[in-house]
Amino acid sequence: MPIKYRGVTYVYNERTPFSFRALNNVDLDIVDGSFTAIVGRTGCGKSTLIQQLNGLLVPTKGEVIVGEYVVSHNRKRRTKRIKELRRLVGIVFQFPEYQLFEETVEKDVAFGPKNFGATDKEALENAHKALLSAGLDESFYKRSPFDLSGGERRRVAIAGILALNPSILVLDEPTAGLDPRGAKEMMQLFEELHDKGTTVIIVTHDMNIVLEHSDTVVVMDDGEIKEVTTPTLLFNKENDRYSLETPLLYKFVKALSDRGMKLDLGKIKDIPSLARAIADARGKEQ
Amino acid sequence: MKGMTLGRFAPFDTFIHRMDPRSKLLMLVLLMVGVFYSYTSWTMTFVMGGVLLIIILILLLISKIGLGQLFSSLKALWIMIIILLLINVLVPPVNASLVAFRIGDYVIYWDSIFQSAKIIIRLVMMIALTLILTATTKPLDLTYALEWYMMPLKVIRFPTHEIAMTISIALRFIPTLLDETMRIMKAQASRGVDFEHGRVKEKIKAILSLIVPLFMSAFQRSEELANAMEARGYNPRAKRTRYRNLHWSTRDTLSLAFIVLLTAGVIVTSVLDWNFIDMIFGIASLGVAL
Repeated sequence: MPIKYRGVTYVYNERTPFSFRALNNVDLDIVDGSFTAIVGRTGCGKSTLIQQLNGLLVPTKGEVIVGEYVVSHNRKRRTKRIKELRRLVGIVFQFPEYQLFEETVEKDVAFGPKNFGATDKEALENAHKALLSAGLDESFYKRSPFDLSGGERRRVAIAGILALNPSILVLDEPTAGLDPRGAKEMMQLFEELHDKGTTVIIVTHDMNIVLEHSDTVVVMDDGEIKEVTTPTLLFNKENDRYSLETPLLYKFVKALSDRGMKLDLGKIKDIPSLARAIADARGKEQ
Repeated sequence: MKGMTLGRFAPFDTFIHRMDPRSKLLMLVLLMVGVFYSYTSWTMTFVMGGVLLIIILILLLISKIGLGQLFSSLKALWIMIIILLLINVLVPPVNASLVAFRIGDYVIYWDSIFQSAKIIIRLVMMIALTLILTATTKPLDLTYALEWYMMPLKVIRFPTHEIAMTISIALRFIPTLLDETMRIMKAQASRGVDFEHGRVKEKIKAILSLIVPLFMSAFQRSEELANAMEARGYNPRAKRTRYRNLHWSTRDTLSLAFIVLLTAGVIVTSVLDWNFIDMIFGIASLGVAL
C-alpha cells in the first residue's frame, strides 16, 4: 500500500504552556514495496512521523493516506476502520521488549492476532511462524518472556508484530542496544520480509544500516522533510548539516579516492560491491 | 490522557510562583481550615463561602491557571453531586425546617439542597486550592518545604530526610511513568488492544497488558536508581548541603499576614456566631424606619 503525507502538522500539548510543534507541514510519499530509512537527529520528529501511520497520533492539520485508509484532522474524512489499519501497519517501537506481559512466549506473540479476531488455533499458528522467522525455535514457546535475555526478548516482541502479517512494517531503531551480530541478524530478517513484498520503514541512527539495506532515505530536521533521496546520493555529499555520520564503507572509499583511486560511488552498497569496484579499478590500471 | 496533566507545575513567573513553598503550604493549610468552618444560618454559610470562593478564584487568576483546568477537574464531580443530593434528600438534616416542595407525601427540605450545595462549594474550593499549590510550586520545592516543617521531629529521631527523599523520588517519577504508560499503551494499541471499548473480559486483558510491563519497568528503574545512588555514596544520615535554598521574602510575610487575618476573621465570625448580614440589614431597616 502506498503512503502519502499531505500537509501534516503535529503539535503536542496544544494550547498549553508545554505546546511543542513536532511536525511542520510535512509532504511525503512512500512507495509500495520500498525499504525506506528515516534519519535525522534526536527530537527532529521521526517518531512522531511514524506514529501517524496507524492512527496512534492524529495530525493536528493535514492527513496521512495509507492505501484506502485516511488518518486526517478532519473527523469526517478519518477512517472508521482504524483497527484494520493497525493490523496492516505494524509498528515496532523503540525497546519493544518492554511491552511483553504474558506468562509464555507463544501466548505473548499470539496476543496480537487474537486481538484482531483470529481463533486461538490460528493465532498460535501465526505465532509459531513469526517466532521461527524471528529466529526463535520451539524450545522458546513455553518459556516465560521475563527469563530471556534482552536480545531474545526483543525478538519475541518483534515476532509479536510479525504475527499480524502486516503489509507495512515500521521499525523505530530496532537494533539499538543489540550486539553487532544480533543487529545484523535482525536486519537480515527485515531484508527477507522486504523481499517477500513487505514495505519496510525504519528509523535509525546507524548510517551503515541505511547504506546497506534501504533504497530510499528521508532526511528530517526540525519537524520538516529536508531531503528524499537514495542512500548513495546522500552519502556522496557532505552531510554535516544534519549531523549524519558517513558510513564506514564510504569513509574507506573516500580515503581511497583521496589517494587517487577512482571508484563509482553510486554502485557501492556493501562489501562485495566495494570489492568488485576495487577489482574493476585495478583491472583498468593494469 | 489530557486530564492527567491536571495540577502539573506550569512554568510561569507570577507573584504566587515566586513565593516560598513554605509560606504557600502554610497558607494552603490555613485557607483549608477557613473553608471548613461552619455557621448556624444558611445565609452566613453562603455569604462566607462566596467570599472565600471569590478570593480563591482571584488567586487562581493571579497564578495564571485558568478556569478551564478547574472546570475539567470538576467534571468528575458530577456523579458525586448527584449522590450527595440523593443522600441529603432521602436522609434530611436533623433540624430541617424549610420545606422546598412536596412529591406526594414526601417532603423535600431546602436544608437538604443547601447542605449538598455547601459540601460541593467546599470541595470546589479544596480542589482549587490544591490546584494553585501544585501548579505554582515545583514538586521538589514542595518536598523541601515539607522537610523543613518536619524539622522539629528530628529531636525524636524521626527520619525526616528519608521521608522527604522518598517523596521527592516518587514525585520525580510521576511524569516518567506517565510517559512510560503512554508508550506501552501505544505499543499495545499497535497489537490491536482497544483501551476504550470492548467487553469486561477484554478490558481486563487490556489493562493487564499495560500494568504488567509498567510494573516491570518501574521495578527495574527503582533498582537502577538505587544502584546509581549507592555508586555515588549516598548516605541518608550524612550532613548535606543543597543546590537550591528556600528563600523567605517580604512578599511571603505580607501574604501570610493577609491569609492569617482572613482565617482569623473566618474563625471569629464562626465561633462568635456573628451574623453581620442580619446586622447590616437590621441597621438598614432601622434607618428606613426612622
